[in-house]
Amino acid sequence: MLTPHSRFRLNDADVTAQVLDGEAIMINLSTGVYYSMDKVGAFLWTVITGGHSLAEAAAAVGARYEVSAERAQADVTRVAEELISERLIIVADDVLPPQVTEERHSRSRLVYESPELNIYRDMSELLALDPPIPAFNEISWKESADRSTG
Amino acid sequence: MRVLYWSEKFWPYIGGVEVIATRLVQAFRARGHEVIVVTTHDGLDLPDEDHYNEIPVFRFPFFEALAPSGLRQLMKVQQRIAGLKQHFKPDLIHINFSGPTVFFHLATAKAYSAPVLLTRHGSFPIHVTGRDTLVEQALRNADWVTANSAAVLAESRRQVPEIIPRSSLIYNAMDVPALPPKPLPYGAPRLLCLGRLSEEKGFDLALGAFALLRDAFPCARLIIAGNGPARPTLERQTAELGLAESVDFVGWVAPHEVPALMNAATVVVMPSRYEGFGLVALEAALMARPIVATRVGGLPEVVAHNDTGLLVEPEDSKALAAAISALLADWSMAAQMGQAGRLRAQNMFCWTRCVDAYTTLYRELIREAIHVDAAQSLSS
Repeated sequence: MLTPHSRFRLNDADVTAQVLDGEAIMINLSTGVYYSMDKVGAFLWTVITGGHSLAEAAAAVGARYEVSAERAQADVTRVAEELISERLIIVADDVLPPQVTEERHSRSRLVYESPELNIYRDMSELLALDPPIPAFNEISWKESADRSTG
Repeated sequence: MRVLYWSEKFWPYIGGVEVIATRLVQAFRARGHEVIVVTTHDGLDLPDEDHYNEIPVFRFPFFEALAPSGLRQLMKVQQRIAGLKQHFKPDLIHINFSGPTVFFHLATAKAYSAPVLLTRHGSFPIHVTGRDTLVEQALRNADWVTANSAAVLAESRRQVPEIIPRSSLIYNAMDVPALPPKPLPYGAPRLLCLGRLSEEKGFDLALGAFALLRDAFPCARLIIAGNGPARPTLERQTAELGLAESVDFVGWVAPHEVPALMNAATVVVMPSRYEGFGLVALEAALMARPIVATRVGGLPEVVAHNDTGLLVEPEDSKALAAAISALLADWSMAAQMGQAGRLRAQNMFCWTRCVDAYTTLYRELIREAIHVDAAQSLSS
């Protein structure tokens, strides 16, 4: 059960991720599934994997974007639940809160779009179809037993 | 109009999708459209920026960037694609959808907006389906979807029913080769398998069938033209079946050499396990060759059973052997089927009609996009 005080860390045993210029890309190496989030989603990914609690993440989103506190909180909770269910992050209440200065609401907050986790469950299969470079055959996607078909 | 043509692989790579892509972009250019090609480097060491018959070709390391170790490169490639779209400002983006590189188009869709036509060339033999897949997102994202066979269109519509009102069939097509067809060689029959040497082409089944035919047709030869990852396995199978003296692996064949290769064949054999359209069947028909093919994908649309060739169920070497034997045993029937195939191919898979269909669709999609833009600016 998530609470506003829940904190998280990257599931770094299975996940490789990169954030650049407002876009986050993640790969779960245990399943071969690719993910991406842009704009608010990429910001949220950085905040959540940076050790912030759900409440802190919602506050950070609200400070940066033109969005109500309620909507920010609902979106942050929804995305966090999705990231947990995809095993990209792990609930880790032992994570220490990061040392940050609180971001204040500015007059020119950015336009808000609800963050979406884009999921590409077929990527590893598509890559294996017509392997262009021998190295691709050697990638051992750690096949998960409960591979989703939805 | 300016068209960004996206083809996962492109010249100098050879395959059905690549052959159609190279001919289409030339035809579009010949009709006065400005075309650029976005494609992948793949295994060959090719320049990032190149020209194919004066058409600019931009190559990207898509597959390396999609490797788990290539995340940083993936983002750089995305930025370069976004930059290219913004710089070229295409009126339309035409995606030749045959694999995972469409990810880079989807990932840069917000960077530059233009109507998107997605052409699906075949089914993907993969297990994962559903909304959270690249295949379905690519289909949903397109303003219009075309498929190169009724089978592929039906599969796409089944997969994503919302595309039904914005999808259509445009058959692959080819010009009639300048080289006239020769009579079928009969005394020493020559069976031809042409294509990428990979599991889905089923050339292992052709070898199995050929072994069954050896006693009845001791002078027959099987020519396997093409290259690919299955070649070592196929060569080993040939040796194990004791067929090394009567099977020729002739390697890669340039597209302009295909008509002559067909002319030397008595029967063209396509034992495919998957096939979107089956361009080799069309190449064979245009050279008046009878075809033995499997009932998969678009092949039953290209090969008319009992009229231009014989169709058998996939994964069945015995049925394949029986069909080949029926044609080899009756030269006049085989020749008649070849001629019927040539006539049918000229009518059904006419190149000019194919290019017309795409350019008409381009214009409609661009006009529609302009109307939508105008309506949006009026309402805002």
